[in-house]
Amino acid sequence: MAGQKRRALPGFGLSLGYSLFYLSVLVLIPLAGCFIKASNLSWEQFWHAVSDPVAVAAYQLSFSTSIIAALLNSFTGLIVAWVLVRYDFPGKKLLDALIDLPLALPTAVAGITFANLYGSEGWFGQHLMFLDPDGFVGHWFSEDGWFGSTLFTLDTRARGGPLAIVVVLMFVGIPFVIRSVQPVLAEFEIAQEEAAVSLGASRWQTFRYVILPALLPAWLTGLALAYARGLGEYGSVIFVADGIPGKTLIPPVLIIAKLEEFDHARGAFKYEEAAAIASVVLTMSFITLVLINLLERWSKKFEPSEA
Amino acid sequence: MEFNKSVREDPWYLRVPLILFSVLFIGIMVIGPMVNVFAQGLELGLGVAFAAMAHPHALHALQLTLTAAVIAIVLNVTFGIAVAWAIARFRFRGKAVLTSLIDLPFSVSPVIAGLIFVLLFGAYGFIGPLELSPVAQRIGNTIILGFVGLVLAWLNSEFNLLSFAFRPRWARLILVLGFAGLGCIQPVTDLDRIQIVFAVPGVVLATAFVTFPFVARELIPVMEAIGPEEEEAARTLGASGWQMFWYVTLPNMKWGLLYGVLLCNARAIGEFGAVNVVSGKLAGRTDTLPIYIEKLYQGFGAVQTASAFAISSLLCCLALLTLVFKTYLEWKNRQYLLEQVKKGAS
Amino acid sequence: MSILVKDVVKRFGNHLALNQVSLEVPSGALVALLGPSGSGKTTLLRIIAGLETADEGSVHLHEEDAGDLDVRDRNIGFVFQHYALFRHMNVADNIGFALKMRGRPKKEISDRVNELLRLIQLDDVGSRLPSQLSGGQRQRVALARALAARPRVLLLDEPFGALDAKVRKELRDWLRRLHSEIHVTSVFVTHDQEEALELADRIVVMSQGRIEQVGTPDEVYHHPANAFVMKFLGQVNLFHGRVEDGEVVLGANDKDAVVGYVRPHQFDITRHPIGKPSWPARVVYVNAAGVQVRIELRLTDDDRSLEVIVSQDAFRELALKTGEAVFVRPKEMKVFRDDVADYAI
Repeated sequence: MAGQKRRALPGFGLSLGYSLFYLSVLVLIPLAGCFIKASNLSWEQFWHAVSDPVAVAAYQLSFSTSIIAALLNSFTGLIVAWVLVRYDFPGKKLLDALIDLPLALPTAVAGITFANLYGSEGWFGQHLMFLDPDGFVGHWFSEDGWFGSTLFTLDTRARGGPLAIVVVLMFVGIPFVIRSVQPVLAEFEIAQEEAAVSLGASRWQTFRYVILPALLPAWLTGLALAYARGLGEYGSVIFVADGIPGKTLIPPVLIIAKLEEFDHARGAFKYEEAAAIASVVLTMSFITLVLINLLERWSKKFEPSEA
Repeated sequence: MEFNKSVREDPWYLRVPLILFSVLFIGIMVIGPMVNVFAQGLELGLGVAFAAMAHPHALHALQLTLTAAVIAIVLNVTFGIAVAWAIARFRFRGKAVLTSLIDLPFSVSPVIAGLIFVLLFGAYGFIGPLELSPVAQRIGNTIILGFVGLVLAWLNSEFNLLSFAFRPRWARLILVLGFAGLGCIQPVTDLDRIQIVFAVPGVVLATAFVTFPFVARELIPVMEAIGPEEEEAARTLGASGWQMFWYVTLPNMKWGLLYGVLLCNARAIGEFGAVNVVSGKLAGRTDTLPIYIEKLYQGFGAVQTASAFAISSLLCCLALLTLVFKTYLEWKNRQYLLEQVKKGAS
Repeated sequence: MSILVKDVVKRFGNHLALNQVSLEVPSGALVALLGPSGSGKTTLLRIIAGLETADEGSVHLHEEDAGDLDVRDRNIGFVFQHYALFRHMNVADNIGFALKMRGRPKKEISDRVNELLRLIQLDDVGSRLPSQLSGGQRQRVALARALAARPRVLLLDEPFGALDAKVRKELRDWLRRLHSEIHVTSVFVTHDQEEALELADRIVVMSQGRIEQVGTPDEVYHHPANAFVMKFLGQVNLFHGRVEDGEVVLGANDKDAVVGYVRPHQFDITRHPIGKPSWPARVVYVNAAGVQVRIELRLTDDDRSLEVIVSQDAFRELALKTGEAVFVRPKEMKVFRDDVADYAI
């Protein structure tokens, strides 16, 4: 009998009607507009816009930096969550509260402070000069360095390059993995661990075969959330990346550039091309969203169903 | 929280390095950058910092930021309450789809959130700036006021406001036709051109878009946890829809609502990407604080940079304040739900 | 007639929760809706209250069709299973809520609240929050809240379900006294047969969305209309047998198979066979702690277990020990078939 609430309470039509109206006007119709605008282009034009080398390099940059940052965060996040739940130490509450700072701090502020910190005169940057192309580590990875000339070159600069983007994306993604894993770990029954130990498991085996599988859905959800956040991040990245087309330019910057670019042949701004690139990025984000939804549904299966 | 020492206690050679690692990681990644904001803001002294904050453009940007945040909060709170009520209290087809659509704006890059409004309302957009011919104005007014009438009719049928004078069917007809007719005969709004993009409405729209999910996301689980019994009880005791909402629903969800508003506010104030695209960055007119900070930072000279950091310090303080409130509200909300659990158990 | 339910059908998706249910509740009655979980008893109660709407059929409250009446206009008092007290209001505000909604003056509300607080014997808790009360106190406050606007009908959903055994017993007695004082037509839902038998003056036994029997506690216990009612109300032993010349003979047989039902106290235990039927059995277990003695027997013929209850006196006379051989004889056996008379001696 549980769950059937229809009609006993008032306001179903009003609340659902208003919700759908607001959702459509503010979100669905404008988003659809983006795809419609992109569809004004012929197939060749669309393909040309989205497969432009600069655009492809931008997707690749965004994709790779987001996934690297999210992966790094997933490991550090697991450790931090473990420490916050399992250990006691002075200042723990403060540390716990500060985890959410990246969510509360405007991204532009994060951008300028990271740019400043890792700049050549910044607190951290002045000690990281060895990463520059003329520094001793940076040199290895440059074109005439031993690593760069034999395997592949890598832009290792502390500011301006892809590494800097990864660092700032790590910053904005910190809360996601920790906040996903923390509650699951906190509610993990001690009886399960005791059961494992009583059955002869070592501490490591207990962690590996009992605790970790229980954390996995939440862990992956956190990872996906951090990745999705990195994919869309703009405010902080533009300050730390030097934005060289084809190298350190992310898609949002490209979209803005297209919006401001005047097509003299047609006598109009390149709105359609901006919309085309945006629809590619949107599609990527939607796929991530569906993935996150599936993950969350999966993780619900493991919750005790007493409620 | 109590742990069984024998099973859960890790040896010191595991515990100490893990704690050190965590503290170091958060120290370098979060605390360092935060301290750096304040240090750079005060580099040229308090005088420069205060001068930066007192600049007319800064004050205007602050005003616009707060205005946009307040309007976005009002819009999203209304939506959040409505959608949480529908989802947590009723069964209907497509509920799962609606629930995941709420999260949609989270997955949209802020720049694209700005872009879609430029595409709709920009000079070359689908709708463009709303330029209305006299006929279009009349039609628009008829539709808008007709909609107002419809909403009122809806309210009336839900809550029997006019039951003292009219039967529901007549009341509905009179309200819709009356208001639509009013709009047709005498345009109530006399705006013939509404600039949206590169103007304040665009900033508000973009802010509302990026903060869209916050309130709803917080309210739905809270309302589901509380359950419908108290509202049903209110109904059996003779409360009307509004009375039930006002005396039971709203007080019960207030902590969750405040939490949602807090997150919504933090994001609204800090929004950069979306506003960057739609605002047109007109100094002293459509600059929000983050945009203003960007402009200062991109400018030349130590004073500009220090000013950017000074204003950033202000936002950083706000962020820290948000965290304090957030911790408090989480605690409060947990107390509230715990009470519910206790109540069910005894 | 205070409540008249006619041919009510309610479906939840494919599940038929109520199947053509009709019920009459006279004014001033105290009626129990008794059944296992999923029998539709709570759904029926919620439909009477107006918290659910019936797919078919009608509900009349005091000769008035309640189909178009909103919950708030039905003037019923509803006590929820987990009380549903407004957790942010103190006890007095909870109790006064219904009158406040009706726009009554403050003085009248506070008088009525004090009157009800006296009635539920909780005079001094008016300013406390529900979370500061014990389970039994919350239950009484919920009842007072439901009674505040002088409802014509009082509906209670598992009123004692969430309480421990001792408090449950106290409240049950208290509720019966209260009902005899204020005489409001009351319907309560329960899955506890003991509670229904002790409290109600009429019992409605429900199963799988249907009403199986309506009657006084005495009727439903001693004259169950069918096997379900017999099994649901109290302990019962089953005998599989066959019908021969309108009489029941033990031993399963595919043809004409019947089931006989005997309550545990309707047996005679003897050392020697007396009359027919009288079955040899062995004592497996004896529990003499309590008002009566519970004995578990195993029939020698078909290896079936029997539960028998005898008085302490009879037990002392018999002086039974575990493992002893005895004869057991049913005094009364129920068989739910039209062509077979109940066996009785």
